[in-house]
Amino acid sequence: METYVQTVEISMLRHVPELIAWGIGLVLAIIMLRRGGVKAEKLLLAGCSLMFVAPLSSLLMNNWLSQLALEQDMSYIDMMRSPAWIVLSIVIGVLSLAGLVCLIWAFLSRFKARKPAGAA
Amino acid sequence: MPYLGFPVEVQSQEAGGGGMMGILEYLMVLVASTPALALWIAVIIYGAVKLHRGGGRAERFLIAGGSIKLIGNLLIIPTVFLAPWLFHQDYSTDYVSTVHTGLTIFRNVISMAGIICLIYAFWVKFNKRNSEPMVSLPDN
Repeated sequence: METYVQTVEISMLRHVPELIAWGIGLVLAIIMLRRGGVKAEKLLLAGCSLMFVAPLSSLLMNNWLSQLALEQDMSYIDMMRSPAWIVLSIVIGVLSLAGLVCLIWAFLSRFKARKPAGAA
Repeated sequence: MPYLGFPVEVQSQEAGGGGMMGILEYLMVLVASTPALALWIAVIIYGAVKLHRGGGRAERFLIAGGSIKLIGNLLIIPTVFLAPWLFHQDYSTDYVSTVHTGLTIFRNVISMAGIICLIYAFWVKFNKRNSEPMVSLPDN
């Protein structure tokens, strides 16, 4: 049990910086939307949400699989080779990719905005 | 000792590598990090072009964020290389696992700084848009 707690703690420590960063992004995106944000800010919000959910799911998946490995007396390597692990990894990968696409789109649409020709 | 998310060494040991990674594993790490490296290089180039065309604080933060994320991604390579080397030097699994976890956390903190810079760049651009009337390009 002690080793399981140790594994969970280390797994959490690894994901904490990423979660903090995307959490800050999420809060700022909500503030921008409330201050009259448009499409770019909506995309930023979607991107930050997906990027926040992906490491969180990875963390939960790691913890769940560690527990399952302990209960079924299987090695973690055997667990990683199971179809459940592969499917969940693909789902998390797709979430991250979707988040990245949203963020790239948001940044491009915000940084493409330009002043009208007549403006000083 | 529990398995602490450290697949590279374990896989190579299972493959009969005696704890050391082969050339193929090194190449796989490099190939796996290539898309992310290409993305951050593209972000830096885009930011530099925008800065050259009269950009300001937002573009500087975009370049800073892209550079920090690039450094964070480049750190994956020594992180992966260091662990098998430590095993080869007969360090205990506990020690190697601690070093690997420490490096991963350090890399994630760098990555966090990069993300915050990028989001701040977006924030600056948004505030600039609110203070000056701007027109968005049509989205085709």
